[in-house]
Amino acid sequence: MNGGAIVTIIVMWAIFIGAFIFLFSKLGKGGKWED
Amino acid sequence: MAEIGRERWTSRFHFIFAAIGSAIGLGNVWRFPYMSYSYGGGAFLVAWMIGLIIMGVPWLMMEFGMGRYFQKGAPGVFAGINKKLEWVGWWPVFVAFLIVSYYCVIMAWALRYAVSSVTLAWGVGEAGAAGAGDFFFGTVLKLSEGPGVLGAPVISIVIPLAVIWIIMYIIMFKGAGRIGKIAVWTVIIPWLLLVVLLIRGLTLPGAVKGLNYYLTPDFSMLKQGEVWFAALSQIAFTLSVGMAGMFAYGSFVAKKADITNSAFITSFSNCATSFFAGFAVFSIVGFIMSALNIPVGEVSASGLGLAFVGYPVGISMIPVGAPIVGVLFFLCLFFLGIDSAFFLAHGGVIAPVFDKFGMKLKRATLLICILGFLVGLLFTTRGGLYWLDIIDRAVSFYGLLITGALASIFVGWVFPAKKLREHLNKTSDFRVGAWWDWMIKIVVPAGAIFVVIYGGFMKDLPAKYGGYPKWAAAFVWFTLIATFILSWIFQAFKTREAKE
Repeated sequence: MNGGAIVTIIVMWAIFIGAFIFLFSKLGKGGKWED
Repeated sequence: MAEIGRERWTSRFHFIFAAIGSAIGLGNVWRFPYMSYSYGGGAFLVAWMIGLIIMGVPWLMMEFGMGRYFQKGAPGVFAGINKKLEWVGWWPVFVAFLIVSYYCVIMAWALRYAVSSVTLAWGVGEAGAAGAGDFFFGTVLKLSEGPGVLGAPVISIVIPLAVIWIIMYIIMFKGAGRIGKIAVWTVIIPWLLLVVLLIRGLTLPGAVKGLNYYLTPDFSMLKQGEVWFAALSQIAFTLSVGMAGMFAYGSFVAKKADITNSAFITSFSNCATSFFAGFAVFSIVGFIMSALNIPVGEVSASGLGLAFVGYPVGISMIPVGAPIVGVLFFLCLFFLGIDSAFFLAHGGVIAPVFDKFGMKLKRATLLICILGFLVGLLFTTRGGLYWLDIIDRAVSFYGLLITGALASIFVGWVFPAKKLREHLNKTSDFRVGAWWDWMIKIVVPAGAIFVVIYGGFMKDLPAKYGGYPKWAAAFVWFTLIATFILSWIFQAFKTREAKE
């Protein structure tokens, strides 16, 4: 696999994993689920 | 507005899975990877991620948020803003109905192929590779010479289509509670199947070559408008926005529950699935290139061609376990499609009908399932593929984008966006700033209209769409206008509240 493709894989998964860590760390800190 | 028997998700977990399932569909497998390959690999991904943040997430938040605010499907939301705007919500309902009527036919093809894969009915080895196209167009579709020759419905497609609508009814007639529980499985199963397909794909010779085509960045392409058009269109089509359903899915959320974080999680999960699916698809594309010694341009790597011709070519060349790979791939397509289909039918059509006419959920579900099956019969005829293509252009391209742009404009400027943002910030896991208002007011409608003009009008107005006869191509515009008129007619009907 060429270098450009490898960098793309690393950067994209870093973005996705970083986003999920942030979003899941915030989970449940807002409103209440029940009415 | 009254909330007579409003459905509710049984948990936040189920809501998020239902939303992810509705967003993840066939396009994640057959559209996204090819777009990445065609528009600069890693460079396309830059434009795609920017499109996700400035257009996709705000649009999804807006639809979820408005549904939650008014506790209604799309027509009820716009009637809530102003009674004269109810048609803005009905238009995407008709878009959703037509999409689900042919989407289920594509899933019927997938079930037909899952059965055919057991014996590799299109052939084994190079004979299979050569015969995959004839098998799809000739044996399965029995394709006629043009849209003017319909013929009778093809029974081997009608039977799985009927099975799919029966499954849809069983899933939907009890409402959001059951949909959320089923969605957990219809999301997890295709994820697992994609992992299996990826592992098999990566163990085949030539797989890396395919992945290089999928991912290698060409940043010079970012200067081209075409790349930005492709990225914005992919974002618009991938999140299942503009099809009315996300308003209803938001309306099943409790009044004080989070919307913002759920919209972000849904959007990123959908895009991560697309990115992952690209590995499964392009490892097979590389294998086909290597096995048949052909350039990438000669491999059917997108759309129906990938699913029903390109992938079967690859399957027929796999030395060990080909039937298993075939069955798993087509079951994966089925599971990817089913939750998008019940999202379109339930959130897009049944919930608005229930809101407006007060029909019992069971009865409304049965009615829409029967109508969806009957309309779908058109696409099971020998000329059905042509009509699927024409109607798809009308509703899934023009309808989705135009109704989405209108919804954003009316929410952004009339409701307005600031009021919705403040409402969402009060209950959501994290706050969004004033930038979001401008995304809804300007960027989402401008992005959608840019795609309509650049990818639609500029191509379809000078030349007939798809090279079809003039009368057939005109059905793109006829369908669009007919759904627009129907939305005004439905606005004129009295609501159940008015009757009461």
